Amino acid sequence: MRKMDDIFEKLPHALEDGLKDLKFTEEMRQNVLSQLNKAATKAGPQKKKHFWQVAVALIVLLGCIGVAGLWSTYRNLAPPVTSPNFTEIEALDIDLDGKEPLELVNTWRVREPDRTESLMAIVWTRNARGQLSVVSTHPMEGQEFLPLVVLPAPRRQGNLVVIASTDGEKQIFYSILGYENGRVVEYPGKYIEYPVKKMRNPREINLVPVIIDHKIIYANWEVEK
Amino acid sequence: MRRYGDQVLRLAYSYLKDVEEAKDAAQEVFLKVFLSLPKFRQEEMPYTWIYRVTVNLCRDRLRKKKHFLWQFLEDDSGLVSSLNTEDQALAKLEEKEIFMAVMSLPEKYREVIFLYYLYQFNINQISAITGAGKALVKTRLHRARKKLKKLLTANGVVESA
Repeated sequence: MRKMDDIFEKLPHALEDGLKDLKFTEEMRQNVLSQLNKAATKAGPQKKKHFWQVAVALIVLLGCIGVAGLWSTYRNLAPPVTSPNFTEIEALDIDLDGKEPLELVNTWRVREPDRTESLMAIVWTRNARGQLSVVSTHPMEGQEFLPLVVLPAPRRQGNLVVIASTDGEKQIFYSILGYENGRVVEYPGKYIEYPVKKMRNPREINLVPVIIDHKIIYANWEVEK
Repeated sequence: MRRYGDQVLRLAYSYLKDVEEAKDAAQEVFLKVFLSLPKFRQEEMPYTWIYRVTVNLCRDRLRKKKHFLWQFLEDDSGLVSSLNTEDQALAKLEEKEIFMAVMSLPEKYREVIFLYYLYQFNINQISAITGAGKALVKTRLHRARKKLKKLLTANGVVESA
Protein backbone atom coordinates (compact mmCIF):
# COMPACT_ATOMS: atom_id res chain seq x y z
CA MET A 1 0.00 0.00 0.00
CA ARG A 2 1.30 3.37 -0.99
CA LYS A 3 0.84 6.86 0.28
CA MET A 4 -1.06 9.34 -1.85
CA ASP A 5 2.02 11.49 -2.43
CA ASP A 6 3.68 8.55 -4.11
CA ILE A 7 0.61 8.09 -6.23
CA PHE A 8 0.73 11.70 -7.40
CA GLU A 9 4.36 11.24 -8.30
CA LYS A 10 3.50 8.16 -10.22
CA LEU A 11 0.41 9.68 -11.79
CA PRO A 12 1.99 11.15 -14.99
CA HIS A 13 3.62 7.86 -15.78
CA ALA A 14 0.46 5.96 -14.96
CA LEU A 15 -1.59 8.13 -17.27
CA GLU A 16 0.99 7.95 -20.02
CA ASP A 17 1.22 4.26 -19.67
CA GLY A 18 -2.54 3.89 -19.74
CA LEU A 19 -2.67 5.79 -23.01
CA LYS A 20 0.52 4.55 -24.61
CA ASP A 21 -1.29 2.45 -27.16
CA LEU A 22 -3.18 5.42 -28.46
CA LYS A 23 -1.24 6.64 -31.45
CA PHE A 24 -2.19 9.15 -34.02
CA THR A 25 -1.37 6.91 -36.95
CA GLU A 26 -0.23 7.77 -40.45
CA GLU A 27 -3.59 6.53 -41.69
CA MET A 28 -5.37 9.08 -39.50
CA ARG A 29 -3.02 11.78 -40.71
CA GLN A 30 -3.69 10.88 -44.31
CA ASN A 31 -7.39 10.84 -43.58
CA VAL A 32 -7.21 14.39 -42.21
CA LEU A 33 -5.17 15.54 -45.21
CA SER A 34 -7.62 13.91 -47.57
CA GLN A 35 -10.54 15.64 -45.87
CA LEU A 36 -8.64 18.90 -46.01
CA ASN A 37 -8.12 18.43 -49.73
CA LYS A 38 -11.80 17.71 -50.17
CA ALA A 39 -12.69 20.76 -48.15
CA ALA A 40 -10.27 22.87 -50.17
CA THR A 41 -11.67 21.56 -53.46
CA LYS A 42 -15.18 22.19 -52.25
CA ALA A 43 -14.37 25.59 -50.83
CA GLY A 44 -12.37 26.70 -53.88
CA PRO A 45 -15.22 27.16 -56.38
CA GLN A 46 -17.50 28.38 -53.63
CA LYS A 47 -15.02 31.05 -52.74
CA LYS A 48 -14.68 31.85 -56.42
CA LYS A 49 -18.45 31.98 -56.76
CA HIS A 50 -18.64 34.04 -53.63
CA PHE A 51 -15.98 36.36 -54.99
CA TRP A 52 -17.86 36.79 -58.24
CA GLN A 53 -21.13 37.32 -56.42
CA VAL A 54 -19.49 40.00 -54.33
CA ALA A 55 -17.79 41.49 -57.38
CA VAL A 56 -21.00 41.61 -59.39
CA ALA A 57 -22.92 43.04 -56.44
CA LEU A 58 -20.20 45.63 -55.97
CA ILE A 59 -20.26 46.60 -59.64
CA VAL A 60 -24.06 46.87 -59.60
CA LEU A 61 -23.90 48.90 -56.41
CA LEU A 62 -21.22 51.20 -57.79
CA GLY A 63 -23.22 51.50 -61.00
CA CYS A 64 -26.33 52.48 -59.05
CA ILE A 65 -24.34 54.97 -57.00
CA GLY A 66 -22.79 56.32 -60.17
CA VAL A 67 -26.13 56.67 -61.93
CA ALA A 68 -27.66 58.22 -58.83
CA GLY A 69 -24.70 60.55 -58.55
CA LEU A 70 -24.88 61.52 -62.20
CA TRP A 71 -28.62 62.01 -61.96
CA SER A 72 -28.21 64.08 -58.84
CA THR A 73 -25.49 66.12 -60.51
CA TYR A 74 -27.62 66.47 -63.59
CA ARG A 75 -30.58 67.59 -61.55
CA ASN A 76 -28.79 69.84 -59.13
CA LEU A 77 -25.64 71.10 -60.68
CA ALA A 78 -25.75 70.62 -64.37
CA PRO A 79 -29.05 71.52 -65.91
CA PRO A 80 -27.28 72.48 -69.14
CA VAL A 81 -27.24 68.87 -70.31
CA THR A 82 -28.99 68.14 -73.53
CA SER A 83 -31.58 65.47 -73.94
CA PRO A 84 -33.34 64.31 -77.07
CA ASN A 85 -36.17 66.80 -76.54
CA PHE A 86 -34.32 69.67 -74.90
CA THR A 87 -31.30 71.31 -76.42
CA GLU A 88 -29.58 73.98 -74.48
CA ILE A 89 -28.72 77.10 -76.43
CA GLU A 90 -26.98 79.31 -73.89
CA ALA A 91 -26.41 79.58 -70.17
CA LEU A 92 -25.56 82.72 -68.27
CA ASP A 93 -24.69 83.28 -64.64
CA ILE A 94 -26.34 86.45 -63.50
CA ASP A 95 -26.93 88.31 -60.30
CA LEU A 96 -30.67 88.88 -60.37
CA ASP A 97 -31.28 89.54 -56.69
CA GLY A 98 -28.06 91.38 -55.84
CA LYS A 99 -26.91 88.60 -53.51
CA GLU A 100 -24.48 85.71 -53.76
CA PRO A 101 -24.61 83.08 -55.08
CA LEU A 102 -25.40 83.97 -58.66
CA GLU A 103 -28.52 82.79 -60.40
CA LEU A 104 -28.43 80.99 -63.71
CA VAL A 105 -30.50 81.68 -66.79
CA ASN A 106 -30.38 79.31 -69.71
CA THR A 107 -32.26 79.03 -72.97
CA TRP A 108 -33.56 75.85 -74.52
CA ARG A 109 -34.89 74.65 -77.81
CA VAL A 110 -37.68 72.21 -77.11
CA ARG A 111 -38.61 69.65 -79.69
CA GLU A 112 -42.14 68.46 -79.17
CA PRO A 113 -43.21 64.90 -79.97
CA ASP A 114 -44.91 66.16 -83.15
CA ARG A 115 -41.52 67.55 -84.19
CA THR A 116 -42.59 71.16 -83.80
CA GLU A 117 -40.07 73.28 -81.96
CA SER A 118 -40.47 75.92 -79.33
CA LEU A 119 -38.18 78.06 -77.21
CA MET A 120 -37.99 78.29 -73.45
CA ALA A 121 -35.83 80.09 -70.93
CA ILE A 122 -35.36 78.80 -67.40
CA VAL A 123 -34.25 80.75 -64.37
CA TRP A 124 -32.39 78.79 -61.73
CA THR A 125 -31.25 79.75 -58.30
CA ARG A 126 -28.42 78.24 -56.32
CA ASN A 127 -28.37 77.41 -52.66
CA ALA A 128 -25.30 77.76 -50.46
CA ARG A 129 -24.01 74.38 -51.65
CA GLY A 130 -24.32 75.37 -55.29
CA GLN A 131 -27.31 73.14 -55.95
CA LEU A 132 -29.68 74.54 -58.54
CA SER A 133 -33.43 74.77 -58.37
CA VAL A 134 -35.80 76.03 -61.01
CA VAL A 135 -37.35 79.37 -60.12
CA SER A 136 -39.35 79.99 -63.25
CA THR A 137 -39.75 78.91 -66.86
CA HIS A 138 -40.42 81.33 -69.70
CA PRO A 139 -41.75 80.06 -73.03
CA MET A 140 -40.66 82.35 -75.84
CA GLU A 141 -42.11 83.03 -79.23
CA GLY A 142 -40.02 82.84 -82.39
CA GLN A 143 -37.74 80.26 -83.85
CA GLU A 144 -34.30 81.16 -82.55
CA PHE A 145 -32.86 82.68 -79.45
CA LEU A 146 -30.68 85.71 -79.61
CA PRO A 147 -27.81 85.86 -77.13
CA LEU A 148 -28.76 86.69 -73.58
CA VAL A 149 -28.12 90.27 -72.53
CA VAL A 150 -27.45 91.49 -68.99
CA LEU A 151 -28.64 94.95 -68.05
CA PRO A 152 -27.49 96.69 -64.91
CA ALA A 153 -30.63 97.81 -63.18
CA PRO A 154 -30.54 101.43 -62.06
CA ARG A 155 -31.60 102.31 -58.52
CA ARG A 156 -31.90 98.69 -57.43
CA GLN A 157 -29.82 95.74 -56.40
CA GLY A 158 -29.09 93.04 -58.93
CA ASN A 159 -29.37 93.00 -62.70
CA LEU A 160 -31.92 92.43 -65.37
CA VAL A 161 -31.55 89.88 -68.11
CA VAL A 162 -33.00 90.25 -71.56
CA ILE A 163 -34.05 87.03 -73.18
CA ALA A 164 -34.68 87.66 -76.83
CA SER A 165 -35.77 85.51 -79.73
CA THR A 166 -36.59 86.11 -83.34
CA ASP A 167 -38.87 84.69 -85.96
CA GLY A 168 -35.98 84.92 -88.39
CA GLU A 169 -37.62 87.73 -90.32
CA LYS A 170 -38.62 91.01 -88.73
CA GLN A 171 -39.76 90.33 -85.25
CA ILE A 172 -37.84 90.15 -82.04
CA PHE A 173 -39.58 88.83 -78.98
CA TYR A 174 -38.11 89.60 -75.65
CA SER A 175 -38.62 89.17 -71.97
CA ILE A 176 -36.83 91.21 -69.39
CA LEU A 177 -36.37 89.23 -66.20
CA GLY A 178 -35.72 90.94 -62.92
CA TYR A 179 -36.15 90.43 -59.23
CA GLU A 180 -38.43 92.34 -56.92
CA ASN A 181 -39.28 91.64 -53.30
CA GLY A 182 -38.12 88.03 -53.36
CA ARG A 183 -39.86 87.24 -56.63
CA VAL A 184 -38.85 86.86 -60.25
CA VAL A 185 -40.55 89.47 -62.34
CA GLU A 186 -40.90 89.20 -66.08
CA TYR A 187 -41.59 92.05 -68.45
CA PRO A 188 -42.48 90.46 -71.77
CA GLY A 189 -42.74 92.43 -75.01
CA LYS A 190 -42.29 92.48 -78.73
CA TYR A 191 -40.07 94.72 -80.76
CA ILE A 192 -40.49 95.18 -84.43
CA GLU A 193 -37.96 97.42 -86.04
CA TYR A 194 -35.67 96.18 -88.74
CA PRO A 195 -34.51 92.99 -90.34
CA VAL A 196 -33.11 90.61 -87.82
CA LYS A 197 -30.31 89.62 -90.14
CA LYS A 198 -28.55 92.86 -89.35
CA MET A 199 -28.38 92.01 -85.64
CA ARG A 200 -25.02 90.35 -85.71
CA ASN A 201 -24.09 91.51 -82.28
CA PRO A 202 -27.25 91.92 -80.31
CA ARG A 203 -25.42 92.57 -77.04
CA GLU A 204 -24.74 96.04 -78.35
CA ILE A 205 -28.34 96.75 -79.20
CA ASN A 206 -30.07 98.79 -76.64
CA LEU A 207 -33.58 97.51 -76.15
CA VAL A 208 -34.24 99.92 -73.35
CA PRO A 209 -36.34 101.97 -73.03
CA VAL A 210 -39.10 99.65 -74.14
CA ILE A 211 -42.78 99.83 -73.68
CA ILE A 212 -43.71 97.47 -70.94
CA ASP A 213 -47.24 96.38 -71.65
CA HIS A 214 -47.57 94.01 -68.72
CA LYS A 215 -45.68 92.46 -65.87
CA ILE A 216 -45.65 88.84 -64.69
CA ILE A 217 -44.70 88.06 -61.12
CA TYR A 218 -43.57 84.58 -60.33
CA ALA A 219 -43.88 82.67 -57.13
CA ASN A 220 -41.75 83.40 -54.11
CA TRP A 221 -38.10 82.55 -54.31
CA GLU A 222 -38.16 79.58 -52.03
CA VAL A 223 -34.64 78.43 -52.33
CA GLU A 224 -32.57 78.37 -49.18
CA LYS A 225 -29.62 80.65 -49.67
CA MET B 1 -0.14 16.50 -36.65
CA ARG B 2 3.06 14.57 -36.16
CA ARG B 3 3.96 16.77 -33.20
CA TYR B 4 0.62 16.96 -31.45
CA GLY B 5 -1.24 13.96 -32.89
CA ASP B 6 -0.70 11.54 -30.01
CA GLN B 7 -1.33 14.18 -27.37
CA VAL B 8 -4.56 15.30 -28.98
CA LEU B 9 -5.73 11.72 -29.39
CA ARG B 10 -4.97 10.91 -25.73
CA LEU B 11 -6.64 14.04 -24.50
CA ALA B 12 -9.69 13.20 -26.59
CA TYR B 13 -9.72 9.74 -25.12
CA SER B 14 -9.52 11.16 -21.60
CA TYR B 15 -12.84 12.85 -22.30
CA LEU B 16 -14.61 10.38 -24.51
CA LYS B 17 -13.35 7.13 -23.01
CA ASP B 18 -13.79 5.42 -26.34
CA VAL B 19 -10.84 4.68 -28.58
CA GLU B 20 -12.66 4.87 -31.89
CA GLU B 21 -14.50 8.00 -30.95
CA ALA B 22 -11.29 9.56 -29.68
CA LYS B 23 -9.60 8.77 -33.00
CA ASP B 24 -12.47 10.30 -34.85
CA ALA B 25 -12.43 13.36 -32.61
CA ALA B 26 -8.67 13.82 -32.94
CA GLN B 27 -8.94 13.84 -36.71
CA GLU B 28 -11.76 16.33 -36.51
CA VAL B 29 -9.64 18.50 -34.24
CA PHE B 30 -6.87 18.73 -36.83
CA LEU B 31 -9.35 19.35 -39.57
CA LYS B 32 -10.80 22.21 -37.56
CA VAL B 33 -7.39 23.53 -36.66
CA PHE B 34 -6.23 23.58 -40.28
CA LEU B 35 -9.44 25.09 -41.55
CA SER B 36 -9.40 27.83 -38.95
CA LEU B 37 -5.71 28.60 -39.21
CA PRO B 38 -6.48 32.06 -40.66
CA LYS B 39 -8.33 32.87 -37.43
CA PHE B 40 -5.44 31.79 -35.24
CA ARG B 41 -4.29 34.59 -32.99
CA GLN B 42 -0.54 34.93 -33.18
CA GLU B 43 -0.18 35.98 -29.57
CA GLU B 44 -1.49 32.61 -28.42
CA MET B 45 0.68 29.51 -28.17
CA PRO B 46 -0.27 27.00 -30.87
CA TYR B 47 -0.49 24.08 -28.45
CA THR B 48 -2.87 26.02 -26.17
CA TRP B 49 -5.09 26.65 -29.16
CA ILE B 50 -4.96 23.03 -30.36
CA TYR B 51 -5.74 21.66 -26.91
CA ARG B 52 -8.56 24.13 -26.47
CA VAL B 53 -10.07 23.02 -29.78
CA THR B 54 -9.75 19.44 -28.55
CA VAL B 55 -11.38 20.20 -25.21
CA ASN B 56 -14.28 22.06 -26.82
CA LEU B 57 -14.85 19.44 -29.46
CA CYS B 58 -14.84 16.62 -26.92
CA ARG B 59 -17.20 18.52 -24.65
CA ASP B 60 -19.52 19.01 -27.59
CA ARG B 61 -19.44 15.35 -28.38
CA LEU B 62 -20.11 14.42 -24.77
CA ARG B 63 -23.02 16.84 -24.62
CA LYS B 64 -24.56 15.35 -27.73
CA LYS B 65 -23.95 11.87 -26.44
CA LYS B 66 -25.55 12.65 -23.09
CA HIS B 67 -28.52 14.18 -24.85
CA PHE B 68 -28.80 11.15 -27.08
CA LEU B 69 -28.52 8.71 -24.19
CA TRP B 70 -30.96 10.69 -22.12
CA GLN B 71 -33.47 10.20 -24.86
CA PHE B 72 -33.13 6.48 -24.37
CA LEU B 73 -33.25 6.78 -20.61
CA GLU B 74 -29.64 5.84 -20.21
CA ASP B 75 -26.70 7.61 -18.71
CA ASP B 76 -23.02 7.46 -19.51
CA SER B 77 -22.29 4.92 -16.84
CA GLY B 78 -22.58 2.33 -19.56
CA LEU B 79 -19.59 3.85 -21.27
CA VAL B 80 -17.57 3.68 -18.10
CA SER B 81 -18.55 0.12 -17.45
CA SER B 82 -17.73 -0.86 -21.02
CA LEU B 83 -14.35 0.75 -20.60
CA ASN B 84 -13.99 -1.01 -17.31
CA THR B 85 -14.76 -4.38 -18.74
CA GLU B 86 -12.53 -3.67 -21.71
CA ASP B 87 -9.61 -2.72 -19.58
CA GLN B 88 -10.25 -4.80 -16.50
CA ALA B 89 -7.82 -7.44 -17.58
CA LEU B 90 -5.06 -4.89 -17.59
CA ALA B 91 -6.15 -3.16 -14.41
CA LYS B 92 -4.44 -5.65 -12.14
CA LEU B 93 -1.30 -3.64 -12.18
CA GLU B 94 -1.12 -0.67 -9.88
CA GLU B 95 -0.65 1.86 -12.63
CA LYS B 96 -3.64 0.52 -14.38
CA GLU B 97 -5.61 0.91 -11.17
CA ILE B 98 -4.54 4.51 -10.95
CA PHE B 99 -5.35 5.10 -14.59
CA MET B 100 -8.75 3.50 -14.18
CA ALA B 101 -9.41 5.55 -11.10
CA VAL B 102 -8.62 8.74 -13.00
CA MET B 103 -10.78 7.65 -15.89
CA SER B 104 -13.68 7.06 -13.56
CA LEU B 105 -13.54 10.59 -12.21
CA PRO B 106 -16.19 13.02 -13.41
CA GLU B 107 -15.22 14.86 -16.56
CA LYS B 108 -14.32 18.18 -14.94
CA TYR B 109 -11.89 16.49 -12.52
CA ARG B 110 -10.52 14.10 -15.10
CA GLU B 111 -9.82 17.08 -17.31
CA VAL B 112 -7.63 18.88 -14.80
CA ILE B 113 -5.83 15.73 -13.77
CA PHE B 114 -4.87 14.95 -17.34
CA LEU B 115 -3.85 18.48 -18.19
CA TYR B 116 -1.88 18.91 -14.99
CA TYR B 117 -0.25 15.53 -14.58
CA LEU B 118 0.00 14.13 -18.07
CA TYR B 119 0.51 17.31 -20.09
CA GLN B 120 2.28 19.12 -17.27
CA PHE B 121 0.40 22.35 -17.84
CA ASN B 122 0.36 24.95 -15.10
CA ILE B 123 -2.79 26.52 -13.68
CA ASN B 124 -2.64 29.45 -16.10
CA GLN B 125 -2.32 27.21 -19.11
CA ILE B 126 -5.13 24.94 -17.95
CA SER B 127 -7.26 27.99 -17.43
CA ALA B 128 -6.53 29.15 -20.99
CA ILE B 129 -7.26 25.75 -22.47
CA THR B 130 -10.43 24.94 -20.57
CA GLY B 131 -11.81 28.45 -20.32
CA ALA B 132 -12.27 28.04 -16.57
CA GLY B 133 -10.93 30.67 -14.19
CA LYS B 134 -7.66 30.03 -12.38
CA ALA B 135 -9.37 29.75 -9.01
CA LEU B 136 -11.81 27.24 -10.41
CA VAL B 137 -8.99 25.21 -11.92
CA LYS B 138 -7.23 25.15 -8.55
CA THR B 139 -10.40 24.09 -6.78
CA ARG B 140 -11.09 21.38 -9.31
CA LEU B 141 -7.56 20.10 -9.08
CA HIS B 142 -7.80 19.96 -5.32
CA ARG B 143 -11.13 18.14 -5.41
CA ALA B 144 -9.91 15.81 -8.15
CA ARG B 145 -7.00 14.76 -5.95
CA LYS B 146 -9.31 14.18 -3.03
CA LYS B 147 -11.69 12.10 -5.11
CA LEU B 148 -8.83 10.14 -6.59
CA LYS B 149 -7.49 9.43 -3.17
CA LYS B 150 -10.88 8.27 -2.04
CA LEU B 151 -11.22 5.94 -5.00
CA LEU B 152 -7.76 4.50 -4.69
CA THR B 153 -8.21 4.04 -0.96
CA ALA B 154 -11.42 2.17 -1.61
CA ASN B 155 -9.61 -0.01 -4.14
CA GLY B 156 -6.88 -0.72 -1.64
CA VAL B 157 -4.16 0.95 -3.69
CA VAL B 158 -3.60 3.70 -1.18
CA GLU B 159 -3.41 3.26 2.51
CA SER B 160 -6.09 5.11 4.41
CA ALA B 161 -4.87 8.01 6.51
